[in-house]
Amino acid sequence: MADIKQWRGLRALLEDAVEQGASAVERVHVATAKRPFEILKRLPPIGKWVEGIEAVHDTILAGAYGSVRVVNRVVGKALDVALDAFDDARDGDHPDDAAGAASPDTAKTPVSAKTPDDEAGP
Amino acid sequence: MGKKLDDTLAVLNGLVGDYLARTDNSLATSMSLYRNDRPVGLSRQGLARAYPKASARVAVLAHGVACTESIWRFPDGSDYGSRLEHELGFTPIYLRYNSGLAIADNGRALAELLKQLVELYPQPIEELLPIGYSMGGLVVRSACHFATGQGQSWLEHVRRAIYVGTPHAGAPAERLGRVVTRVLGAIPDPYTRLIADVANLRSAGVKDLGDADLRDEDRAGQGKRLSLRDASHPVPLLPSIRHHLIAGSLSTDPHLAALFGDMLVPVTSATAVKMRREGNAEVAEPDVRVLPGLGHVDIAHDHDVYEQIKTWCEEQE
Repeated sequence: MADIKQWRGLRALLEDAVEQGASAVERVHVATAKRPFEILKRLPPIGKWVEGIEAVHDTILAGAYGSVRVVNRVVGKALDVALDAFDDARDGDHPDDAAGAASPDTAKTPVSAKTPDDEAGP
Repeated sequence: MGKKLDDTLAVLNGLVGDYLARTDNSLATSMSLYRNDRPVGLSRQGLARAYPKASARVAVLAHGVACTESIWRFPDGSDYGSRLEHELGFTPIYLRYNSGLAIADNGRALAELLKQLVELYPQPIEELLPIGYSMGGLVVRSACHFATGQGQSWLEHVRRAIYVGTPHAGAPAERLGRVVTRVLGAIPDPYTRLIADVANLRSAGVKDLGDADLRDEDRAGQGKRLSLRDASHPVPLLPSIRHHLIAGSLSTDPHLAALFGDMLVPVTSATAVKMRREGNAEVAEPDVRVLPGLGHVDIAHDHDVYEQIKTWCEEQE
């Protein structure tokens, strides 16, 4: 089973993936939407209107992707708090482990909770 | 830790390990020695506990990209290291590392680790035998390069090195990937650029496999290279030791074997043909073995491969 450090790592990795994935998709979205706007803006009767619509479109787009990123960060922070609470509760249940002492069931203790010199031999 | 979790982390590290290390993510694997799936403390006490019957002959086994030391394991649980222990008295030491880091970074770390191992090992080491599988062989070569430059004394204990399916001249699959991502990135289309960006997320370690870049200066030119052919390798095989090369080949046809080899590493690359031709590798013919019918993964745990390793290890200097 993964230990708490690894859960934290997984949380951070997923947060990074959502953040950067949202930004990458946003870039594609903006670039794709730009094409029809560029064509429509060249038409004299509607050019000015299209500029305004494009500005509104871009603002909504930035807001939508921005909110994905904000929610992602908030969820990340919430998970951090939950993991902290879980870690504290676990330390309360096993104060010896928290102090770094070897527990009797060393074989079942997660590897990262042991000092290197406690490692089992062959 | 469970084997599945270890394997998953190894794949993750192979794919984006450099990013994990750069962002201080705790999923990043740090280089350490392992025995029975557990890390061994690099201290006198830790080594003495892990190796109570420590032999003066030590085999260090370095795994390949996106895997752990479990890649060496036969179905019966033995591996090249444990067989060398039972039959020739070697103490096997398994290396685990973040295969997504640049090969040069892992090479530097391995050189430092071996330096400490020789100092802290329970008894004086007579022979240190590095055995590298796939990328592991390049990490070993990189470590030898850095150790030579810094005059590290552990090299004096190395008489030979064994490379199993190691792409000494690089891996064409990665070079092809490099060309495809460059072409996709050059097309002025947001979708193809997105695909190129995603493909470019592959780790520094994987990118280094393209031309077997062992040093920082070799990596520097990676962005400019677009050739699909084997590059001339600037780092020679260490002339002071013997090198034994093992290649797998799925085909018995020499042309197909040269092209595809074990599916990931062509025979010409695993046997360092170009390096030998250019005088960068002094390897005698008996020290090269090509085994037909072996894929890239199978070569890490094959009876014939072990017999060959054993035969070489039994030879006197």
